[in-house]
Amino acid sequence: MGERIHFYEDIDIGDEIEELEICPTTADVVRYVEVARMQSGRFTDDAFARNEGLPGAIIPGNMSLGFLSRMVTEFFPAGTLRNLTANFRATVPHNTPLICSGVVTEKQDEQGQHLVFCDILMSNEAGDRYVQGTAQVALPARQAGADC
Amino acid sequence: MLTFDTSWIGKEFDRYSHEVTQEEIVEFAASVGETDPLYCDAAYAKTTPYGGIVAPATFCIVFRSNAPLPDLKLSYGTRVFDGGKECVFHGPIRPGDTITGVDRIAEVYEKTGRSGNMIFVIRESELTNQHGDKVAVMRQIMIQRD
Repeated sequence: MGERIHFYEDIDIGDEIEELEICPTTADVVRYVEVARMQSGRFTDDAFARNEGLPGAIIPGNMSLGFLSRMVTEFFPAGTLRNLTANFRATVPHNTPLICSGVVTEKQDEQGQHLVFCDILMSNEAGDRYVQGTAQVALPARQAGADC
Repeated sequence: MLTFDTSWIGKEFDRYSHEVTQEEIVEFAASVGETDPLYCDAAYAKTTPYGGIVAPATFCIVFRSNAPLPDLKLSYGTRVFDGGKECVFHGPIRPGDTITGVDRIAEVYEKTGRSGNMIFVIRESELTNQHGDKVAVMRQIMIQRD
């Protein structure tokens, strides 16, 4: 188990979220589109996808969003994900090693809410950017005077 | 130049409901490799502030109808791309919840990129549970171009 952040005070602007490395297979995509009720040949059938002008079957944008969400919530296990945005910059192929990463860009302590803002990214090992977005997480704060 | 039927802005064009099962939450979590037992272990989840299993945040994308967009009479744009998504999470989704979604066209605007003009159509889906509590709002960005 890697690094985890539980409290607002334990994270700073510029800190990196622990990367999540994945390699979704075609079987993984088939499983996802069934439960997410988004069956389309473009996600599971190379020939169908090519007919649509794609290089082959692709990973749904929503599944990419799911991986980025997982990275954020695993790193902040006591946090609550408030907001997630994603721009789909390029189609994501199956069976390709992918890296989800993120960095803290802002912190806000207002009206009892302790919010952390992050830039998030899904890329391949060559650094090509597939999905780029932001996440906003509410974290608990340590009680005043507590040692840990 | 962009022209379209502006009467659709803000108008509901689709409504749908879905009852959530624990099995689909567990399966959804597994399908993206979630490791938090909050999504699959009822005994563990009961000890958390949630008091029981909840769905991963992006589970809200399950609630989607297959209804096409209304005919916006866009002045161009024969090819459609999924440009991205914006999700605001207001509260947890639990097994047994009945989630109702209402879809509207939130915005239509034009941008000029390196490859020419593009139309951005923002489809907003507001999800509420059986208690009337808003659980999420999703904005899907669809890009249309010739």
